[in-house]
Parts: sequence; structure tokens; C-alpha cells
Amino acid sequence: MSMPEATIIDYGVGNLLSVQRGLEHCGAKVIVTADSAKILNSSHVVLPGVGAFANAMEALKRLGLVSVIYEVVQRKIPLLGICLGMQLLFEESDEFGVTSGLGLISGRVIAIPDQTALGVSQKIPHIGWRSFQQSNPLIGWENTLLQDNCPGETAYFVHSFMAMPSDPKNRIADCFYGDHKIAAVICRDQITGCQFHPEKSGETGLKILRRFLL
Amino acid sequence: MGADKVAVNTAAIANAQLISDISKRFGSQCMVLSIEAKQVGPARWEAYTDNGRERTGLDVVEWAKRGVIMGAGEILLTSIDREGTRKGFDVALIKAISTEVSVPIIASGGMGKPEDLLDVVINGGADAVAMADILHYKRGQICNIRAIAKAAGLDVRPYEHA
Repeated sequence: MSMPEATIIDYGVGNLLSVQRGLEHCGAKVIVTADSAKILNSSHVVLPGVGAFANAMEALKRLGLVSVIYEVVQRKIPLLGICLGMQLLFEESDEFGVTSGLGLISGRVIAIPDQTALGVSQKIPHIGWRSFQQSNPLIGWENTLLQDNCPGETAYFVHSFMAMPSDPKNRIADCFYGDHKIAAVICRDQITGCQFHPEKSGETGLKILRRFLL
Repeated sequence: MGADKVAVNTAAIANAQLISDISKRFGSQCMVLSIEAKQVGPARWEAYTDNGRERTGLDVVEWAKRGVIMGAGEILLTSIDREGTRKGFDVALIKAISTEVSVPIIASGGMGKPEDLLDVVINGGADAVAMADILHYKRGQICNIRAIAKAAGLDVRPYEHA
């Protein structure tokens, strides 16, 4: 099998170097670019993102990348959204006013409540290592990027907002922050989104990246 | 070129708008407000700048609250009085801030022994702990500090052998 050629979409927000290192460690040749031809020529595409939703959408639009991402999906090139990159896949977000997203996954992005259901205040952003579980144990993780992971493995999260997929089928892993269930991994066809950072989550995350590159 | 977060102290005090600008552009999780606190009275601390050299007249609790309103996503709170002393964290300082703001607090300054971590997390409400000297001079190792924290019931990740 030839070496996977993964592209990290560079739209000027966030830290791309650790994603690049993670993918290279898993055997990919990595290009970081905003060039549409290069993106569409690659075997795998990563939409990274650390930052604010509105700013990121604005950058994607300014660079003409929204239609490129739709084309990636159309061509069934595997797409992995990480953290904000996952949230951008949804229809809209509440971060700094309501902003439309890419709309590739139905649902919206809302602020993580700063209180538990019992009214105990909790810190926002949600930062740290958290274990994740199967959203639907009856379906499990077979044929998803989590196929090589076990329920209860821990990954590194850092976020203030959370995605709320409207179709439960798109939600494959959850974590708990206080008593709030947060969508940790979502997927639909060739599109996967990780709320946590697989590139910063040790072996657990590398298993996901390796599976993505297959 | 690969940074996940920036800690800002002096520049934020000179221009608090910078906090909002950073958090709007890069997200609040990227904007760590670094506060260097020096005790100036009973349960009163003043924020200092320029690596603990310059006074600002700002009350640390007030400044922390304002910083969070402006968009800081995390606070790195260093006790100037404890830094480098190995006497343990200023638990009263950390508690004074952690009970007043909604963002995670990283306690910094004074970790002399692994048990100091338990004190500042359990009694001070710290969400994370910064340590340097204890590791540099090998009075503690990450794996045993982690084990001590776990034994005390703190939520730390199981140690993963590389």
C-alpha cells in the first residue's frame, strides 16, 4: 500500500504542528496547506482548529475553503475534524453570537453549562484528560475510527463549547464533565470529528490517527 | 509555530483589551492570564508585573475576576512569596481566587514535596499544579507524584509507560 498523503487544512487558526507530528508518526506524508488543488489531491484531510468558531468560519470563507471541504466530502475523501474542527462540521454555534457552520452533521454547538444538574458550579473551559465511552454499546465502534480503542480509554480535552448532534446515530463516543454528557467523537460516513485532541492523547489518540489513515 | 496556549501577564495589565482580542481570535482556552501575586496584608494580594519586579496597585482577586470577564480561559496564579521556597503553595491565595472565578486555576510557586500538591488541590481548589524545582532537583518524579495524587482520590490519568 502506498503512503497516505494527508492534508491539514491551514486556515490560520490554531496549532497545526502537533497534528502534523501525530500523522507523520503514524506513517503519513503530511502537507499543511490552504491550496484547494492540493487538498483535493490528498488521500486524507484533517480540519484542525483551536480558536473561536466565528473567526474560524470567517477564515474558511475568506480562503474559499468551504466549497473545497464540501468537495472533499463529495469525493468521499476521509475527513477528520479535531476540536473546533469537529464543531465546524455542525450547522451552527452559539460562540460569540450565533454563527453558521459547515452543516455537514446535523446539530448545533452550545456552551458547556457552567453548573452541574445539581447546581454545583464547574470550571469552563473543560481542560484535561477524560475517559470516553461508547454512546451506544449495542452498535459499538466496529468500522469507525475508534475500532482499535477500548471504552474507558482517556483522551485530552480542552474546550468551552460542545456539539449536540441531532441524530443519535452520528454520536459514537461520549465523555462526562461533571454530570454533563459531552459528544467526544461523532461520525457520518467518511466524516469523523473528535472533540478531544487525538494528537495530544498518547497511544489512545495515535490508534485513532492510524485507523484514520487506513 | 506550535504553541497551544499563551500566558500573558505584563502586557495584559498594560492593555486589558489584549485579553479579549486574544480570546476572540484564538479562543479563550488559548488565553491564559498569568498573575504574579504578592501578599500585601491579611488575605490581600497585589498583582505584580515584569517577573515580579513592578507593583501595579491591582488587587489580585479583582484583577482575576476582570480578566475572566474580558475572556481569559485559565489563570496561572503564581505566589511571588512562595516561589522557589519549597514551603508549599500559598493555599489561601489559590482559594481566594478559585472560589471567585469560573475558569480553571493553575497553582504555581512553592511545591516542595509531592504532598503539597494534595493540599493546594483539596484545600485550595486548584485545577492544575505547576512544578519546576521539585523535578529539576529530583525531590519528586512525575510518576510517584501522580501515584500519590491518585491514592488521595484525585482524578489523575493512569500512568502510561512510554
